[in-house]
Amino acid sequence: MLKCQFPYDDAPHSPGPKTHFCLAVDALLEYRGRTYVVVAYGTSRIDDDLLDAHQGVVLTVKSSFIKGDPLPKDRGHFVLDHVALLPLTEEWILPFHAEFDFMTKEQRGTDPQRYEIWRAFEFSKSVMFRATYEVLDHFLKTKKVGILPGTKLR
Amino acid sequence: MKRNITRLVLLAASIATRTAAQVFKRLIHFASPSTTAAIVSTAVKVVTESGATGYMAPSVPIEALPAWKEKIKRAERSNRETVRRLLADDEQRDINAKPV
Repeated sequence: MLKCQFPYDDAPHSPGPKTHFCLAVDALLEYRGRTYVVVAYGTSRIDDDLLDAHQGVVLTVKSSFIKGDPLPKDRGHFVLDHVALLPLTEEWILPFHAEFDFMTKEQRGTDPQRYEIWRAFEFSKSVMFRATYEVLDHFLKTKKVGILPGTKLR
Repeated sequence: MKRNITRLVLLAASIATRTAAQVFKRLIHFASPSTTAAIVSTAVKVVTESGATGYMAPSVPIEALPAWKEKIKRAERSNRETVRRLLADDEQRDINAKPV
C-alpha cells in the first residue's frame, strides 16, 4: 500500500487535495528517467454512490488485516477499477509502509475471514488489470499522469 | 593487440559497473524482504530525492512501457490460474456436499 495524493475527478492530472491510502497494482515503472507507479484508489469513506459506481469491485479490508503502519480508520475500502499512474515523487507519494496480511497461505492460516477477503480480491483483480492497461495506454498517448480524464469516482 | 583487447574489456567492465551503480543509486535501495499487499512477494524501500520513503515491489528498471505491460499481463495470467483453481475448489466442494 502507498499513501498518495490521488487525483480527483476535476483535476485528473494533478495531485489531489487529500492523502489516500491506496493499493499499489504492481512494481515500479521506469520511463525516460522517471519512476512511476500504478495505484488503485483507497478511502475510508464508503457510501451508496461509490458502491453503485463500482459494483462488485470495492474491496473492504479491516485494519487488523493490514500490517505495517496503521491506517487512520478501522477499515480501508479499495476501489479496484479506479486507478492512477503516479510519478514517484514527494508531490504524489508520502512516507508509509503497510501491506495486506492475507495474501499468502501462511498469512491466511485457517482464518476464514482472511480466506474470504483474499478470495474476493482474486476474483476482482481482472478489473484492476483492465483499468491499469487503460491508464497506461492513455499515458503512452498523452504522457499525462493521473487518472483517465472523464473518470468519475461517484 | 592482446593489450588493446585487455584495455577494451576493462573499459567495457568499467562502463557497465558505473551504469549499474547509477541506475541503482537513482531511487531504490533494498530493505529486508517482506510480503507486499498486491501481486508480488517482496518489497523494496523507495526514497525520493527529497527523502520521502515508500515501499514497493522490486523491479528491474524497465525503459519501455510495452515491457511493463507484459509484466502486468503475466500477473493477470497468474490471477486467472488462481481464479480457475478457486472455482474448481468450489465445484469440488459442491460435489462433496451433495447428499449420497
